[in-house]
Amino acid sequence: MVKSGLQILDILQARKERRFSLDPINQLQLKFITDPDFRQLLIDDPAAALTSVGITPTEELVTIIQGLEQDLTQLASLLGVGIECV
Amino acid sequence: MRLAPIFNQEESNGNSRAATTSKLTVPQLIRYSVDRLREDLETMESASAVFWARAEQLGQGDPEYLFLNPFSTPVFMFPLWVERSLSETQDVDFQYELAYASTAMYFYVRILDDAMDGHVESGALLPLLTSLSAYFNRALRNLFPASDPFWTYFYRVIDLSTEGMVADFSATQITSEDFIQLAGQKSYCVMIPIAAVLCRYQRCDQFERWSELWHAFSAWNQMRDDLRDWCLDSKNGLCTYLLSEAQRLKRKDESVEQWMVRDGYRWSIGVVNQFTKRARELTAELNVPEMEEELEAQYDRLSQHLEHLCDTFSRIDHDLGRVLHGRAG
Repeated sequence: MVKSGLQILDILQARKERRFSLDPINQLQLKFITDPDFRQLLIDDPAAALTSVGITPTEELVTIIQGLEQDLTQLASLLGVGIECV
Repeated sequence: MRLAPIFNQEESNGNSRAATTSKLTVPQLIRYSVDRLREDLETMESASAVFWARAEQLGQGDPEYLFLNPFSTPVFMFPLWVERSLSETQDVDFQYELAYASTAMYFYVRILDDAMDGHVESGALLPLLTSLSAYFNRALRNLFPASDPFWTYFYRVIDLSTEGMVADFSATQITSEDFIQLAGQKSYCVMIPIAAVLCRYQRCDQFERWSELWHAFSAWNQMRDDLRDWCLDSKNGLCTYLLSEAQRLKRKDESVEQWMVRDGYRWSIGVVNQFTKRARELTAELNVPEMEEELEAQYDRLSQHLEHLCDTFSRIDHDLGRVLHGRAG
């Protein structure tokens, strides 16, 4: 079956998205940097935050994140400073 | 945390120039300047409302905090530091007038920069540029007669700054050399109050030394800003040195975002350290202990933050990766 131009574009786009799709751990890190709500969610409810980036929140994973709470809280407060430096 | 430790947190005598303290503090200068700007703008009801709404937004509810947070560029400190390098005493009236000029100039550049970056809320603010320009010109005219050599520096600095802003805005890729030049040049207006103090003490021979420091400090400062805003800059299609390097250094099958979380912050620590080293050397040559102390505190804050971020992300990578991908611990 011959594919239409639009179908080919869709396939190429899907490949591109797959090629650049973030590993769930990187996605978690990126969301932590860019999304203030996610930063708070990761600290308050690690299981929900892990789920939102496609990671099944096992007890072991949640414990790891809880162990980082102090570091994450400190980083969140610095990342949250919305002041212009320049 | 409202004020950086370096600032004297004593209450000043409101906006009075007659403050009796023998040593001016930055909060005093800022309070005076903000209050005077409020008075100057109050005859224009709509413009004033639009302006202060934006100023409060920028300062997270308090326009003064914009200049007094631990991450602000020490615009108000440089004239004090320059004077400190030349004299044991302070010309209090001179510094107050200069601080007011600096405040009007700061907001002038801020509004211009916001508009250039495409912030929609800036449209109604653009007419304010005319008034702010008039205010900082008037304050400087109060300090220097038309024939004073200061005005030669003033126009030179203004033109270089304008050229820097346009060149930075037009850039489609920024190399390391471009960045070092443009970072200092686009914010070169800060050299106006510095030139003013040098002219006041007839020490214009020191201009190039301070200009060199400003360029070195600006490279560090702009890198700090680019690091803070890289995601927003990327979304808005803005060209920065960090994003240019991200495009160059990322793998073919990797996005800028992936590179940033994989290696970008670690790479940035190296760049920031280079800029810090150069700025530190030049700061030491000028021999102003207060300046060294404040700038060191700023360099340390950024370095510690970046190291902390990288270390925490490494632990997340390692610990979550061990569980999710069975990586060896």
